[in-house]
Amino acid sequence: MGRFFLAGSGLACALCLGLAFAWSAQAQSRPAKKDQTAATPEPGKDWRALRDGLDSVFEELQALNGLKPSPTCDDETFLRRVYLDLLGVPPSPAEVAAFAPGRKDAKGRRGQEKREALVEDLLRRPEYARNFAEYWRVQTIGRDKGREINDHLEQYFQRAFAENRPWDRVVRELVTAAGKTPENPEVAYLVSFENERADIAGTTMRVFLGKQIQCAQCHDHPYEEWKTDDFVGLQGFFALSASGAKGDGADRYWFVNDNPMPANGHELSARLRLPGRHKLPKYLGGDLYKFDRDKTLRQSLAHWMTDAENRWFREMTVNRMMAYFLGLGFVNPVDDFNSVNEPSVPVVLEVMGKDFAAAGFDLHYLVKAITTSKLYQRTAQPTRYNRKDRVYYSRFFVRKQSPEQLYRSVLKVSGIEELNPYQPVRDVPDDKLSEHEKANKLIRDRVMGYKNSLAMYFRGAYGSDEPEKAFDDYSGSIMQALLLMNFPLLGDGNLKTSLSEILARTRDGKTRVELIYQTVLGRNPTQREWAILRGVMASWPDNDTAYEDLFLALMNTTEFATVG
Amino acid sequence: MEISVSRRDFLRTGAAAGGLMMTSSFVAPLLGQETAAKSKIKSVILLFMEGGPSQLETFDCKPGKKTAAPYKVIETEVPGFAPCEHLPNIAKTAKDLLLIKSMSSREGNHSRASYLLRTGYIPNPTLKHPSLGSIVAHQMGKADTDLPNFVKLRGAPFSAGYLGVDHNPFVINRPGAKIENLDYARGVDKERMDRRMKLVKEMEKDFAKDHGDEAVEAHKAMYEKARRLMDSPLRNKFYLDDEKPETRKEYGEGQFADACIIARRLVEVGVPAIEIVVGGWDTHDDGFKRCADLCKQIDQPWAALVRDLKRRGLYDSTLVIWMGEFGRTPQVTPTEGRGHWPNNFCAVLGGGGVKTAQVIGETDEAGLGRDTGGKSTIKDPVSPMDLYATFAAMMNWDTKKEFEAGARPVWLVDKASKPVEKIYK
Repeated sequence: MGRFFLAGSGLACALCLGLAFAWSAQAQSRPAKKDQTAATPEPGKDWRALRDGLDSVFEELQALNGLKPSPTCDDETFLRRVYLDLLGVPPSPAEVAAFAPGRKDAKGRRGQEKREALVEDLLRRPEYARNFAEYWRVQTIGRDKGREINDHLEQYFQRAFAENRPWDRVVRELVTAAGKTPENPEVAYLVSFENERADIAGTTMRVFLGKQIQCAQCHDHPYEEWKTDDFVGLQGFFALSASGAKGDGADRYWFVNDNPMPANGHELSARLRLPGRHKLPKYLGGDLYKFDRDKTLRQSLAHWMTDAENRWFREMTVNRMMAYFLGLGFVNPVDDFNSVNEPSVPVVLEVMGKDFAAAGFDLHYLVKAITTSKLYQRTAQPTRYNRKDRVYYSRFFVRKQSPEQLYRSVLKVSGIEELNPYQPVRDVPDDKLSEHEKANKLIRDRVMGYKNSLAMYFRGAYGSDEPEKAFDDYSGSIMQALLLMNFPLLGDGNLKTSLSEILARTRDGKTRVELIYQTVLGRNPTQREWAILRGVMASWPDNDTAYEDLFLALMNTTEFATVG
Repeated sequence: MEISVSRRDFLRTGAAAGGLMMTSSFVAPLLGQETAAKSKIKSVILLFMEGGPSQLETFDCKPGKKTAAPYKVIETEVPGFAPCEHLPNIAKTAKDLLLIKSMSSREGNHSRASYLLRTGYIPNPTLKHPSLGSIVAHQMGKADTDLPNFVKLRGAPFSAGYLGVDHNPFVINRPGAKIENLDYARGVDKERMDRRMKLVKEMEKDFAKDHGDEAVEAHKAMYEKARRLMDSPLRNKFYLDDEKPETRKEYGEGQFADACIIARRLVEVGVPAIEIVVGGWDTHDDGFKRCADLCKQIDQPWAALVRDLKRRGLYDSTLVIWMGEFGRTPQVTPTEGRGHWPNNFCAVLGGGGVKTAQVIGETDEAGLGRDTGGKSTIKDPVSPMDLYATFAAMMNWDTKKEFEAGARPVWLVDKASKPVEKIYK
């Protein structure tokens, strides 16, 4: 607590005024006991309480700063937003219909209740696990480590997110991973660093604890207390492990091995021969490593990192999830906690961190609290009062989709994968295949061809190493625009697509336009859009190309490429 | 004075190319030319040899040594500039080149060393530095152009990092072949694309109103640039169809030759940054044969590029750089290959601002780079950081400017580096 400063007079005032903040007491004291007043919920037990606390604090902060928040978004906006954020794809027309925008759903729910139910439902979908697996793979090892390493790590993450494995356990499993692929796909994290201990240590601290120590590789850190020796001491935790690859082709596998722990601390220090003052590995920030023969060095590090008492771990995770969903963290860039980059509202981050830890690092708990909050449900429309807000979430910040999201969006919207199912193809020469099998193989080759070239162009257009965008950086490269304008997003006419289905389903122009809108943007055209369409399309040829042009035009809008 | 020469030259070349359309967008900056301050360098061509080209099989051979390749060397008019026998054309252009034999770093891992040689910085996962081409595009590029300011011929799309996607490379994977996604899709023509984009424009108004206009503006700018490129008469600069057969013959055959011609064509119309990537230099096995083949692959086109640029009066305003991420071990493996060796390796510079016809640095007889006591025996070592500081000095980059990468300051070149003054005029 001593290290926290009250950033911004707004919050200081808010606290002076004695905010109605359900768990303000919690920030100062031990977790509440059960026999306390009913008004103070037990931390980590009720995500709605966490959410309501978050909402009420920011409502006060917005008011104190004269920021009139934008209104709550409509059902269609919320649906698309939460689909893209949780599943990585926009909703299909059927999914839009099932949500019944603006009306009661099949179970008679509407408004907040309906939205909460949607979030709970999406968190159980396999696409949620896939989307977060992709996100965390990019966050941890980036985009350029090769397909096999990517696949192994995503496979690990996917299983973990599908069962909502507690986040502390996930991080421990990554940091302590040992064994080989495919049995232990989590080794892919360490393997990806090719035994560069500086990178392993630097990335592990940055990604999971928000601490950037890599500058200390070459010189003492400019803002922090870290010295080069601290960095070297931290790398020591990885000194007894080695990773690599064996075998060729289909037999190739990747492994991480640990050398046995020496008998005592003296032998360990003799073994590691760490330069500088520190003969033993060293945790960041001064906690002492005590020799423990029953744990590998990486296990010791992982336990220190993910301990509920380690504020960096819980607050980094909260901060990252806030930034992921709201476009802006308490600390920005999300992974750069340091003494000259204090959180915008430290006490809220602290309380949320403690609550998340008390909930057993349950990611669903945190995600539900954030995505059903009022903050997440604001429209992006700036009011004259909140246009300049970059701190208090008084409106939703429009975000560029990540290359992974956009690739998945294109794939889903085109319908090519979904509408052209195929059976596995026997691995025999073509003349041994039946006519039916040949036709099946042709479909497979066409679908795979489409997917592969789309993926390849996305990789080329975005660059494997493109850094994470600041929330207000929407710029893109020429290659990205060329891809969306000129790549045949709807295939070469030989496969079924969402569009060909729509055109086959109805001849009614109005219905066609509505279905195209629902497919591409997850909503119906507005009154104004109808007016524009009537004006613009009047001069278009009166045939199916007009609908194709509309479909592709919508795929080239800012709306399609963003989460808004 | 230099300016008027290159302008005249440009106009002549343009006319020779046969009624090239003189849109104001690319002539104006050439006539104006008040930017880019005092440097006379207008374009940079980086020839990047991926995999770690062996210094011992290219420019720092140790003939007669037990571990040397079974190659002869070619003595040239420049003392110390004695390339291997598989670089005969480059040997003839020796006086137009500067050889650094003493490039030296500590990075022996491909990805780390490539990062270092491409950016002038040691990799740091907290920060993404721009590569040379992106820096040049940022410092010397024009906002108002048809063609991208950084064209990369082959290789991965290394992002511009903190400089922003505007300075990302435009990557051409197969130089000379049809460029992916640059043409209208089948069944689409300009009129039809105009129709679509007109609708997009109309739709965007609503979105801008409801979501703030920043995203829409950025989106629009990106599409405008892309369409301008698609419809530009200058896009024929990416192709070789109107290149004279004599020229094609002079450069020789193969993707590298084609890429070199395209590079020259781009320089002619003022594209500031071009990178050509040649892979295959990671010669752990069968190195003598493979290096000979690689040398043959680059020798004729590279020498032709130098001659061609000179003939067209562009060599003085074009910096041509040949380098890779590290060199190779003096020891030969049982499979006639060599391992990674960042200790000493070669780089070759030529063109604008370079004091050519000289050799910088020297390695000892064995090429080990250090004596038995581990002391360096490399004369005048040049670190990659210093090489970048040298580029900065040659091109007057704004090295004082502080950029923000995340929450921390960063500069175009490492603050601790120093330009090597012997290299440039």
